[in-house]
Amino acid sequence: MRSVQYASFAKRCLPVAVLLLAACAAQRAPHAPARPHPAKDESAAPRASKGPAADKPRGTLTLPRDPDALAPAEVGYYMDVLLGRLRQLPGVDSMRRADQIIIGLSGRCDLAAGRARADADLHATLTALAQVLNEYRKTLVSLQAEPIAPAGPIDAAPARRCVFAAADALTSAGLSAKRIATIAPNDGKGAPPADVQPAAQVRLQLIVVPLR
Amino acid sequence: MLFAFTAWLVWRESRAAEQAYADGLAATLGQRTEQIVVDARNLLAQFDRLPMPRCSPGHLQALKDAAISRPYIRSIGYWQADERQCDIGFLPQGLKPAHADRIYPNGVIAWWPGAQTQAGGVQLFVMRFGDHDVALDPRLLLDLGPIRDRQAVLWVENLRMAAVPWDADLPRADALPTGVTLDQARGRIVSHFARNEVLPIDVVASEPLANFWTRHMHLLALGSGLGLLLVVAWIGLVTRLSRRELSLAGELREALAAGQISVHYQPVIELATGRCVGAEALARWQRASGERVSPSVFIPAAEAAGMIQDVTVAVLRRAARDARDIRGEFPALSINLNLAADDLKNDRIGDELAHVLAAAQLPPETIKLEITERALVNSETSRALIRGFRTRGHQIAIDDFGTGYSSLSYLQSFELDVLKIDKSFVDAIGTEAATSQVIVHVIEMAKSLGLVTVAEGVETPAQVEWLLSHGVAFAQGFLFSKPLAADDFLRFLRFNKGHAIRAIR
Repeated sequence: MRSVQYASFAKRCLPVAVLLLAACAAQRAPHAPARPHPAKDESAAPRASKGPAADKPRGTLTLPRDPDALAPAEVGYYMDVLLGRLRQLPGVDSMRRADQIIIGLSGRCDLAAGRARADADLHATLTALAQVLNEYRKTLVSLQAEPIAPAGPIDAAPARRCVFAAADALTSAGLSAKRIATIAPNDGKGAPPADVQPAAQVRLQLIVVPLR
Repeated sequence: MLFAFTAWLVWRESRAAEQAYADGLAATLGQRTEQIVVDARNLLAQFDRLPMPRCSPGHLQALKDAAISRPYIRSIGYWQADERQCDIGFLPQGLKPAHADRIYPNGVIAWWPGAQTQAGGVQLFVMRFGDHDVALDPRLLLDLGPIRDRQAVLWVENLRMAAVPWDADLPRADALPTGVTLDQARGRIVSHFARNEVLPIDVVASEPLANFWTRHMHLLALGSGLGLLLVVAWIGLVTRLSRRELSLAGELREALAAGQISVHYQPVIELATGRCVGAEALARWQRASGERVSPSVFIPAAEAAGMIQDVTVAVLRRAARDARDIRGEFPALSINLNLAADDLKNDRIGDELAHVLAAAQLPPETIKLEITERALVNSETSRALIRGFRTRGHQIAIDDFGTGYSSLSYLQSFELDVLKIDKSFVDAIGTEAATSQVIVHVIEMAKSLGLVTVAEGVETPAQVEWLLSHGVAFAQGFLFSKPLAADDFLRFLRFNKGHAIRAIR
């Protein structure tokens, strides 16, 4: 797999990233930690992981407000119109969950051949998605692999490759890597659970959260 | 009763009129709303496909062209995400409501009128698709006409779209049955009509009961008038019937005095020979004006007025005179005289009979007496009278037999000679009717009592065949002749003498 070096969440994304990761972690299996997408700008990663928040007691996070951040009163409208826009895209199954938009993609990574690249349909969908998200820049996107059915642990290595391939497609279409986080399943250290899902039963899910 | 009926009628009609009005209103509002919503959606899709650069003069002109022909459009805007780039209309800043009421699977977003869409004191309906949005003034959807105090709310997809007045206090559409209901607690009538063709649309309207009645005053007036008319008609009818009955009796009395009661004769035929052996005397009344009064009218009137004996006497006198003339030529001929129940209450008829026959020098057997089964009253007087008639040489026939439920033993207690089978049994001959079986038993019963049988109302040769085969000796009916005036009857007898009715066999 091509080792793509993406910038992780920048300082401006940190508050949301913390919320996002916490939210996503709650949805994932205990062995699937959320983490920023591998960043081109390596210097950003330590800042994200070693930010002041890590050393301060809870509730004392004080960061300068991002100029693109949404005011609380703006979030509803912003996410509503984004959801409407996303629903215009073919192959995208989007739904609202509180202030987040959950996007399920119908295409899948071409895992059967042992590679990790998005198939043509998925690539086209991701490109269109990136265009919309470029317009709606006051959001952050997390990418994760999700078992289709039944729910349960998934095969980590191919799923990770799939997530990274999708992130690659989004950035290739112009979406800033700073706005992307990948939530990879078990990173391969240690043996995967015995009842893992076949790779073909894994699909991509995007979670779009407002930048506050 | 009549007024209650009228009140019910007025309420029903008013309610139906209200229902029809509200139904029409709902249909109109529903169609207009559907049309506007669908049009707005199509417009937005059309804007999304416009080829020219956004916010260019061409683009803005296209937006203006769309708005100018649609008076309900207040603004059209072009957006990038949440930033309004350009627009036409009255909302340069645009609206950014915090919560969309609907986000449809095709990407259309809608904000129903409410506080979050209020601009310039008007709560707007906003719809966005892609990068364009349109704001509509929903007040133009509701036009209730100039009816004072009427309130209405238009619901689309169970969300309040428009109201007149804007703060109208009406129940939710989904909490109200469709149709017209009476809200007595608040003194108003509430209509709810639903329509679900393109969009689920409900209209809830109300108005004070006073208005409702005022609006349907014409029905109230009509109902009251109708009620009054019915009462007057009823009183008039009762009065007229009473007067007619009274006047009929008076008229009959005069007719009797003036000798206007005539007699017609219906021939009685001996089936075996086809010869006419007698006739039944039937009373007829023709007014001086030429109008004929049916026996079914004046006989009951005479019975009710206690004049039936007068009628019987009048018929008897006329029949005796005619019989005297006829018997000169046909000496064996007899005439049947009908007696009513009242004729058997005293011996007036017996005395009159004896007197008339003596005066005409006719033997008693000239007159046979017919008594209906119902007139056979089980009293000593009637039994004695019947016995006296027979003693004097008159034959007694029981008329219309089969209609009075007389038992064999009851008939045996009277001294009778002839049994006349009612027409209803004769009609049943040859049919599957149960009565066609009864006639056989009637004939058998007559035979067992030693009575001569006469069938009434014979109309077909087949009936004659059947009657002959079952031993019925005599018959009368339209097959042989209708009732005839005395002169005509005489002519019939003369013809019959030379041409006995054999053709019937």
